[in-house]
Amino acid sequence: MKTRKPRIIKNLPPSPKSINEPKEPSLPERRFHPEGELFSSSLEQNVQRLRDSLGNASDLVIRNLEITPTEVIGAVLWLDSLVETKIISDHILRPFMELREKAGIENLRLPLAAELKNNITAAELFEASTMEQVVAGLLDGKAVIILDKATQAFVVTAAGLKERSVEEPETEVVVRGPREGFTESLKTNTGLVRKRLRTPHFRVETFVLGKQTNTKVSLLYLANIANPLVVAEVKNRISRIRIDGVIESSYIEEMIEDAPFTLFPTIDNTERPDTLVAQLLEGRVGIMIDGTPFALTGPVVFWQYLQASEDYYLRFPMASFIRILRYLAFLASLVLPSLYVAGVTFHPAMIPIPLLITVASAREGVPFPPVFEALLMELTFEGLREAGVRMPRAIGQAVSIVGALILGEAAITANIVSPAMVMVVAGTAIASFIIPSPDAAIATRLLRFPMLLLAGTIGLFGVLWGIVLLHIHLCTLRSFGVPYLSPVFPANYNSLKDIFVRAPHWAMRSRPESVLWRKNRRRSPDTGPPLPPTRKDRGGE
Amino acid sequence: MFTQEKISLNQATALNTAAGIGTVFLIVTQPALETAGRDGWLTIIFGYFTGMLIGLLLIPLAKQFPGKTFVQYLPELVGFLPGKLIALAFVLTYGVFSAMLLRQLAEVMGLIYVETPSIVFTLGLMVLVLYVVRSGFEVFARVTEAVPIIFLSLFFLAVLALPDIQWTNFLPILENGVMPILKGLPPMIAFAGEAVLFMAFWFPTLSQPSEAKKAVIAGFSLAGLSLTIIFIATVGVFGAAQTQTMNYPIFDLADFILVGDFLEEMELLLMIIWVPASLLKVTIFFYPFLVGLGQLFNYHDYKKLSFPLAGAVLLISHLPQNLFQRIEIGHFLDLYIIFPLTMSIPFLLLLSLIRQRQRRQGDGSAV
Amino acid sequence: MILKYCLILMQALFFLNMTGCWDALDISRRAIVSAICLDEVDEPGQILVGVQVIIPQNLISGQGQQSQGGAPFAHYLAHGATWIEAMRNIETQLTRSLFLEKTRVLIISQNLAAKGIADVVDFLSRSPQGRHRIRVVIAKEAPARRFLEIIHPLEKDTGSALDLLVTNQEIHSLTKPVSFQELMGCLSERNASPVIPMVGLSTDEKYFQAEGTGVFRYDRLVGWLNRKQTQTYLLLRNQARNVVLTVDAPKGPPKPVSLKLERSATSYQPVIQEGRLLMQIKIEAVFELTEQRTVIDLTKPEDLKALSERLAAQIKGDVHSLITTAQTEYQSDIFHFGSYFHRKYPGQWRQMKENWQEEFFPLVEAQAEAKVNIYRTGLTNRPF
Repeated sequence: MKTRKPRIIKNLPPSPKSINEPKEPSLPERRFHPEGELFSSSLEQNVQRLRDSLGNASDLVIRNLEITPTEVIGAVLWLDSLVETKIISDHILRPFMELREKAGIENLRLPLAAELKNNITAAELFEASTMEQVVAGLLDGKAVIILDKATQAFVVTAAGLKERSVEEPETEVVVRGPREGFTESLKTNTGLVRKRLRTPHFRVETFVLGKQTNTKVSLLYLANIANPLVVAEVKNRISRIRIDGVIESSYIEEMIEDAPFTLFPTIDNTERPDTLVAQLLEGRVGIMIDGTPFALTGPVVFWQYLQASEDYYLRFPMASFIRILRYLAFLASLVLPSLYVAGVTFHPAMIPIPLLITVASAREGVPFPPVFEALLMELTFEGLREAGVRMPRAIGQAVSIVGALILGEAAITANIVSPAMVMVVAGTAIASFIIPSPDAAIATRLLRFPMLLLAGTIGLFGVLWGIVLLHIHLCTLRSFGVPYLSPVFPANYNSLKDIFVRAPHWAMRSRPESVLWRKNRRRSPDTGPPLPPTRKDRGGE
Repeated sequence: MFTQEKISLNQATALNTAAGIGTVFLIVTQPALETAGRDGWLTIIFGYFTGMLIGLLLIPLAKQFPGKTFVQYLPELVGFLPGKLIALAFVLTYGVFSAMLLRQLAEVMGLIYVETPSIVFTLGLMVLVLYVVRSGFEVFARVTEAVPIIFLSLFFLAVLALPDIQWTNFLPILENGVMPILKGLPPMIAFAGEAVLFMAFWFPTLSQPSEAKKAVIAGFSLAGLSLTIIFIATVGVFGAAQTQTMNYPIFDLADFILVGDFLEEMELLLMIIWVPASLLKVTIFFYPFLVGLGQLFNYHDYKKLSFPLAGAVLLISHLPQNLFQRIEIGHFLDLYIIFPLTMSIPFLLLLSLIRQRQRRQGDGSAV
Repeated sequence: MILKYCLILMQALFFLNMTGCWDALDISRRAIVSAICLDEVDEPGQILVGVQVIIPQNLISGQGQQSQGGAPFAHYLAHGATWIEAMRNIETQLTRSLFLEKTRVLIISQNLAAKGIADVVDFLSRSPQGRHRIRVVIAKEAPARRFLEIIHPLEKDTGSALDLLVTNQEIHSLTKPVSFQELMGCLSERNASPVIPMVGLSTDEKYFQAEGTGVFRYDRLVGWLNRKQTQTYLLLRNQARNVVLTVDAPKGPPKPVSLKLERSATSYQPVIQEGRLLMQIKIEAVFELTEQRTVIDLTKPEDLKALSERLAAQIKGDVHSLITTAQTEYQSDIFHFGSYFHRKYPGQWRQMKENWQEEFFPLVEAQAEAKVNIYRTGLTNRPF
């Protein structure tokens, strides 16, 4: 038996075998036993073969269907760990029993297959004619009915693994807005999206990825809105993935993103069905992966990372204000410590004199140069944050108390760091918490360090150099062909309504243009602000 | 291939504005004051207006050679050898200019960083320029779209200076007649001409050439307006006599402005726009140098040339011995190469129209 | 590959940082100068420079730190042939490098100013930063260095105390504050001379106070204006705020009535007529009656009119006497009359340009006209 070593992809092959249009139902076409492709006519042989192919798994349950205590006409097999036994007893075994009662033994023998198929009350059933379909079915949480002398088996959906129920997502919390979040089940998640998108144009295409995990991955888009070129590109990229397992959406993300070496994410993720639906409505494409509550969306633009779903649920002046605040926070979390370092070491002339005196008196007697002090504090802060995240919740709180209160206070009293620096680092931390997307926050958290080093080397010039470099870098990025900084660079004035501010819904008449190709209107062209009813409307003259 | 990249109308406007303002806002007051004194703002307006007109004349010229840059169609227009020679002069001038601007950045930074060697700044900026250039012209066009930050900051600076402007500093208007203003025009036209010639270079990348007029009018007006405002703000605050003694009047202006009682030191704002402005302007000169030199010798893989040429530019930038020599070189190139080249565009258009008519007549007779 | 280069670059930057390179200098290694003084010394050709350096930890006495209780600043003196040389000599006494960019005030001693200031301010005009907003003051009848020793009870440092003192003219109208930039502007033109506020020490040398305005001819101190003259001068330069004038009541016994200036506008009209230089000055002022030491009701229109006529006459007299003083005594065009003539008569100006202040300015005939309106009498209309 030759097993091909799974190739961990380094250089993607240009365009390997396409799995663009998988057959319904989508099951992997894989060989387990080259010789066991078809059924033999012997029930025992079939059952034995199945048992072998699963390595005599201990959770494989085989229940014989007997007419008389000695005469076995078939068997039901399932993996106990994946299946809801109640479904099997209610929808497979009970119908069989009832059939046996009703029809009598003799009648049952001959047209058994057809009779049984008609009497099984389980919702989903199909006929498998090869052994590997049967095995895949078993592994997918289905029950398999094999009849003696039959050339096919019935595969019945009976999956009943315990799942987390639909809860409010922890990462994207809203005050106003739907509270549902995705779960680990692809089926539930698809349902959550579909119930918000009651249109036949909503498309779900499923792929199976991962040589070992056989994970279902769904591609979601609105056929009448999404750019078919983008959809084709996403399909093409997914089809190129060769990987042994897909555990989380990031496995897919890193395999298909445009710019693998940048710190900025070019594929967004969300845990909220409403966000996903909104993205689909803007012409983007979603990817959902079985086993994780995070769905991927693309193409994305940079500005999306500073937007939250609640922006669209709050009243627009407040939403706009919060957005502007976020942009400031983004800048602050990127450059605040480096500006402080540059100001204190290179350009004290740029600090107003009362502040300068305060800072100077705080710096007096601190043993480290400001850059080193800043690096130290930033590293400590990142460490504290990581400790707080990974620890169990109760200990996490203790960590933050130790970090914030004891360590900070003691460091200042011992004159190891200056109070001004503590303030700067705390301000930076708060600013980085304001950024709603953790992925974008990661970029600023990492970039802060090179910025600090630049500031410590050549002051403000270094900081500006870094910012300009960053600007150029962001200009070079694309996400599925869409320029990363659009619609600002390149400018598209129509789409600017949803970037720095959030215009009222009736004013955003068209979808973001850079993502789209046609059907750009999303509100009726004469939509304006809602007006009070005129006298005529009220029936008066 | 350079000409296969496509830029939008917005980006074209931004490129024109960026090339027009560039780093000129730093030095524009000096040549304007030199001949026209306190009427220098008129020189700036007329200079950029002339530049705009020539830019408009460039459009029909460039449209006759779709997909070809200035460097490529010059030999077709004026004959092979003269065309190549003029193109070579244009390309080399732009190369030297990019070096001079690198140097200028280093000099201005030298005011603030007394001890840091200037190679840090020239090399630092060159790294950015190389990154842009190697990412392609579309990326540069997108980077340039940030140019509103520059002219809005300049406007902001001027607005802050408003309370301190003494309008009497501009009186009497036209004390010595119109002649000083006309005499001061060539350097101004050369400043605008840098943008016109740059447009001649990138014109084939424009995705909607029929709309180019808008980009020229908007771009040059914005650039001219910003510079005029800067002139008015500096001379209004300091007076013509004192401004003339300053090396970089806008830095003095930024130093002077005080907002409220705490927001001192607007140099910060100036520094913020100074680095990106230098990047844009150096790239604006480096791009034609790089791509044009390649096209001159029919070598189209310009990205391969970028490193050696960047090295050459860096080297040239450290050749001038002092500030005044650098300014001299800039003046010389502006007055004797950029200015005549810019002024020749109307004649080139005329020539091309005559050629076209001849060709058409030739075709007519053949049929 | 890219990542590798980035990492190498970051390491290089890190080590550069640790060694503390180039222009990096922590503020705790700098001596923040708040005020500079320029003084005469006995040695010929030498100039005395003094700096006042802030000691930040003594200035801030927040909860976190215990104040050492020392003086909030220290001062250092040294002399040299040039300013920069003197500065270098000062640095021999210092452990930190001098940081001049936040200097608030430049104090020049009266004797030095009388000999000319153009050559001493050259250094400041060349230094790259922070020079425009420095206030310039003249130390009246006292060595300038004495000012550096005085601790002002309200302000943190002498620099800002002096700065605020002279810019406080909006209230005391005793000085015309001048920044270094304005001074440079004035010195670079031939058609006007600067004025610089003068500050003096109290008799016990415990505090300083504004004393008036020093008058220069070109760059030399030639005299000074007292409070009343400064008020008139500010009125003429359109910079008067809160000026209080006192006149006698128009009826009844000659008791004083004080009026406060609300706003004023002065306009100039230069005329050259038959070789005579005329300057028509029109002052329009609005006053508020703030205090009267009579019990007569002055709110009747005719009384108010009489009062304002008195006031106008007084202003007119003040203006004429101030201009005459400037013309005869100082021969210094502190009113910028020259620039008005320049603007209106650019042709004739060319002939007068070189010797304007010595020759032509004293010949200008000023014709002042004042129009006063009293529009308010405070919250009460009649005395009790």
